[in-house]
Amino acid sequence: MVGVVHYLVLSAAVFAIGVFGVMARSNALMFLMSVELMLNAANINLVAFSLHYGNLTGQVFALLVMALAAAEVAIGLGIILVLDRNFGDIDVTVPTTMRR
Amino acid sequence: MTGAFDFAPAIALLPLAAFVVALFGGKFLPKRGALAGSTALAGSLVLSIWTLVTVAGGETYNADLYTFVAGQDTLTLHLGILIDPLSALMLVIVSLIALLVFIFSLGYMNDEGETGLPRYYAELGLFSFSMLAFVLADNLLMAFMFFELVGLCSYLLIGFWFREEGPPSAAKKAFLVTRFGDYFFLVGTVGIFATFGTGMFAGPESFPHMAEQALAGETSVTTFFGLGEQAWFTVLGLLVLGGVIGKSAQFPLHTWLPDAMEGPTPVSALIHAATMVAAGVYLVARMYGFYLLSPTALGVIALVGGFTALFAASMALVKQELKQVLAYSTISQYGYMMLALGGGGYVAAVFHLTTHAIFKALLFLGAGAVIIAMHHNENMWDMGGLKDKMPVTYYAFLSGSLALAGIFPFAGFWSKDEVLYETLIHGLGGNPLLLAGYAMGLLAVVFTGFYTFRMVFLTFHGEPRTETAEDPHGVRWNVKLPLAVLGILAAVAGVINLAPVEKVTGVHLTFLHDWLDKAPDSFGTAVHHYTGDHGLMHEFAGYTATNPLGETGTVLAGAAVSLGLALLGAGLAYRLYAVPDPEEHTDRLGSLKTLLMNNYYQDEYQVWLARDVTLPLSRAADTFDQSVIDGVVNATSSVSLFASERVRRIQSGIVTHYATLLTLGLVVILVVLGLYGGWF
Amino acid sequence: MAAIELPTWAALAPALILAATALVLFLIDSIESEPDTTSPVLLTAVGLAGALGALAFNVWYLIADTGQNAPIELFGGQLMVDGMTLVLGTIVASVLALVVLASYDYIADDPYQAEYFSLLFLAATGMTLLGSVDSFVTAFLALELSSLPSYALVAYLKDNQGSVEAGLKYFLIGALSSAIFAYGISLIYGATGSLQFDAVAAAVDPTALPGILGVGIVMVAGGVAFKTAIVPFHFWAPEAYEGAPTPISAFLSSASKAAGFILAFRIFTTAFPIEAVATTIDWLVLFQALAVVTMVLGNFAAATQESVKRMLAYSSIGHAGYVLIALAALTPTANADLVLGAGMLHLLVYGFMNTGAFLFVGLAEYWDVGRTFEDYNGLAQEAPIASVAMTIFLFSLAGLPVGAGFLSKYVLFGAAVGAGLWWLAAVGAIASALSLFYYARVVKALWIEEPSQDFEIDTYPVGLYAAIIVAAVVTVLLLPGFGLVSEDAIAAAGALL
Repeated sequence: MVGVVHYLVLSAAVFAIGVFGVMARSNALMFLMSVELMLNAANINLVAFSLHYGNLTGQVFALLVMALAAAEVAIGLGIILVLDRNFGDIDVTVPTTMRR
Repeated sequence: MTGAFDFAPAIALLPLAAFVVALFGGKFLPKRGALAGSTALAGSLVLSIWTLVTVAGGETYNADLYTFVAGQDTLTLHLGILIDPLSALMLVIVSLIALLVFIFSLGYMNDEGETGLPRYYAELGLFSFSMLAFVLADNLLMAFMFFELVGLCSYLLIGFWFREEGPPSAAKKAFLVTRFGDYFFLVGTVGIFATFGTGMFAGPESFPHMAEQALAGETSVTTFFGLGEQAWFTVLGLLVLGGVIGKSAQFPLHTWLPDAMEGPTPVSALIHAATMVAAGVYLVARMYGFYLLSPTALGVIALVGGFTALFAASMALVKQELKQVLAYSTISQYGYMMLALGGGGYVAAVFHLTTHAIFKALLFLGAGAVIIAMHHNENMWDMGGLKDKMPVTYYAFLSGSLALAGIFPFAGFWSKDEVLYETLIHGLGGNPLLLAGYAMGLLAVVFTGFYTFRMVFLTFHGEPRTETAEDPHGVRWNVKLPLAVLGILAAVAGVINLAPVEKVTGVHLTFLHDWLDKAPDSFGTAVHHYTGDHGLMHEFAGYTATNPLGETGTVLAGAAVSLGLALLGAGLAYRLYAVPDPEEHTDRLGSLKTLLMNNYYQDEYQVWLARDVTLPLSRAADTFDQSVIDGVVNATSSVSLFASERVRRIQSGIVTHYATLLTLGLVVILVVLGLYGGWF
Repeated sequence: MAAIELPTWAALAPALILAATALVLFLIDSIESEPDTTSPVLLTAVGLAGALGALAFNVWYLIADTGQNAPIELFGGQLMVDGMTLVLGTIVASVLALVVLASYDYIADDPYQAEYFSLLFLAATGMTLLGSVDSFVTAFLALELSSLPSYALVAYLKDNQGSVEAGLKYFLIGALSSAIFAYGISLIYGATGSLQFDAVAAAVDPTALPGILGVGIVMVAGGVAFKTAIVPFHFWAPEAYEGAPTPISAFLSSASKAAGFILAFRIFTTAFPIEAVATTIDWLVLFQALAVVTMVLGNFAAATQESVKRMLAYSSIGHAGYVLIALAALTPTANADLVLGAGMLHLLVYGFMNTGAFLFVGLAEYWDVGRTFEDYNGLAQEAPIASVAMTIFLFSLAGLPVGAGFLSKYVLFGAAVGAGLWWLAAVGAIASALSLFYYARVVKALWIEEPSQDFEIDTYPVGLYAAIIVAAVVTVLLLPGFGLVSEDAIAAAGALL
């Protein structure tokens, strides 16, 4: 029987992978994908607990999180586009013009 | 009913109007705003005198004007006006001196062709406004706000000649050092509000009264850190004292005042001698009912005061520049006032505050006149023989010097004698701390006599030592008038409280005492409430007076001792410096030796005392002052800057580093809180 | 009562007006035949009307006590309107009005102005809504609604490397933080089975699953800390504020920060009241530690900056530390109304003085003066009125009694002492003392130093000037008028507890 604890462990693992990606990858798209993983970890929790408690709040919220994730990616891709135009690269460690 | 008190806000607001006029219209006015300022201050003076007369008629005033935050539980912040004999007297002093300084500035600034005059007069007007509003304040918060504002004005005015090198750094130092004290004051203010829920100075709802009732066991208040009520009041009093020590230039926060002499001389006279520096002492006097509840705080005040009086006077002995001598003497004289307050001499402190404001403003303005004459050279060794060239200045300056040195019958004699007498009798009543303060104060009298007359002789007597001193620059009526007014006052102002004469002859002559006693009982600020037979001083501070030689005897003995010591110091100076060419004094010793053996031994002893004991001591004090205290101040700022540099390194500019640090921070918080909350 | 009874949804009028304005601006831009030919005057006028309209509604509701006696609940308890909503709405609308006015000059030569204004209003809508959220769902939505347009606005100058870099960093850290926030919410849902604030508070069970609840609370705190630039979630702030178009820096550091704090106040007083969760997680200790670190780090870092804008960015972090005292001092012995109210008051005053200070920097950029302290040398000779205003802002930020910053800081520290946290107030006081040092550097450069360059100032931009002067006047007027606003703010705080 797969219980709520299993989902919790799964989501924690996905979240940790996402965090690792954020810290280790310098490609902007990878960074975005890692954040998506973290959001999806949250969604796993929401859906699993929704089932556990027998109310729909969590599932509805998971849908909203997905929609917001899409919006976030839309903005993010725009910014990555101008990043490429200005710096000729989508490596997020390149822009350090304000470092002093 | 329309009376003087309806116009009380105008006393402060008139100079504010002058500030606005000078700031925005100064350029277009004939005297660049000086006339507007003088007119406004004249108006303030008239209103202050009217207020004084009304208070003399037995009326007082204590009212709110405007409320910032009202009725939220216990916190009430408001602007209000408190007029009792103390503040009425202070109003007259401040507006009188400010008016004279405005007039004097016409000669010192306008006639000398300075630039930036609208700014000067605007800042002077703003200062007068803030200072008068500070005096009028009826609660601690308002007092704090204007206390800060006068500090700001002082900063601006010290740095008036900002294009030169010295003034801006002196201004910065003054600002930082006083502000260091002010932070204690702020914490103390917050503490008083937190404890009593009010910052009112006078009346049944005031914090001194509530504290008194709490100690008498009639009510109770919240204290913090598990301290008892009296201990907590001591902490609060000492915190507020931090601001006082900064503003009144008491040890160890006195270092800014000598540097502040970089400002224009009229500013030194007004702000750094007569009024702003008095703000600290005034604040202690204002909330004296609170300090009297704590013998510890009083002891600290007395000791700080006595030590400062001696310490500063010893440094004044070796200074070369006229204004530097005056600066250290100012610190020393405020030390006396603190000594008096700590020693239970409330009237004596106010008395000395009054006479000092007069004679020190006089000395500074006199110094200003000399500086004009000397084409802005302040070194006393370049002067000499100015007595015949500028008689009005000389005689006025002499009157001020006699008052400063405490020579009978000039104003300073009466006030300083009363300070020492009050400290002595309360010290003999079983308080060794006060006796220590008294001893230091007494020793400082010798020093005061010495440096005062050294200054007079070097500046005015002997032969001119430079060409400028041969042919000094003349000064006009606008310089002479304030000097003359103050010179006469410095000679006669002592009559307002001739306590020794009263005690000897039995004729009632202590007018200042009666005056300060006029405050109504409901205010709780009258003298008999403080130091009367059943006053706070006996009930809570545990001071008792002892006259070992009987009252008359002790009075006379005390007066004789302090006068004798002052004359000793003055005489010493006369021996060393009242000669045509004092620089060659050491050479003259040789000829004196062969001529008059006795005198030789005396001279050697005097020279040894002056040159080999006092000078190294003064130098040591000076070194301590310059290296240790300044060093601590400088080190604090270097440490801050170094730490800042480290903090800045964290911001590397690489966004993945930020993400990593952010995650690590979160993990640290989680682990710490998890262990703390027992999640695992 | 008013003659015409408004429907309950009208309580959201400020947010609705802002959203409608955003859409109207889009509409105006899309009915023009050629792109980028819309008159800037028209856009600014519409924007100003929208911002002032929202402001008017907020002030009216505040005066009329709308929702202040009992909160107005909407959409099944997902949104609510009470005093704190209106205080935040007032802050956001005021800052927005100033920023719109200043942007007229600042972006005069840039393309896509309609989009700029439109995004500004969408972000403002999100911020205003943050004041009325009553559930984690709406909190997340409103937070994103305020963040997403902000990312785009920071990167608005898309040919400027600094602006793009700032936008990228803000976006990446923001995305990371919002993922953390979302994950925290999911854990709280797991621990309580609910997302509505009151229901969460009712369902909190300190004995069952303490770890999940605790981690969730910390992660939610992290999401809020990002919005308010609290250490260690502050890294984006110096760079985003420095690189962004200056009116946007002003907007983010004032309005966005205020919105984040109001959300924090709401969450931690309504969903996680300390008496309910203290055994699991003592967030008082957390916020006390963060407040100290934030005050110290922000002020220390500000002290060594060479660029005025970056100095203001760090000082803004320091001020976040001061406001955090409002949460950190909610001890059982505290006068809680006063503590929270003091936080709101400081946000309000800060909204004006900080916006003004940033806009002055914007004015200097408009004139191509330069960015460092030295570049500002002698600027007062050329622009005395704006320099007087800047002096007021800076001294008020430092806590000198020339502006209301003195009183709000005083009440805040006083409230902390009243709560028994004298050491927290002491750290604040020391940090303020340090802050005077770097604020005074700007004042000194403006007034005292000799000019180090020849200024080429031929025009005095009306919009920027008007915004700066209005901000200065309000900063000063709030000093005598403090009593008026403080009653509302403290009453609003009282309603929460």
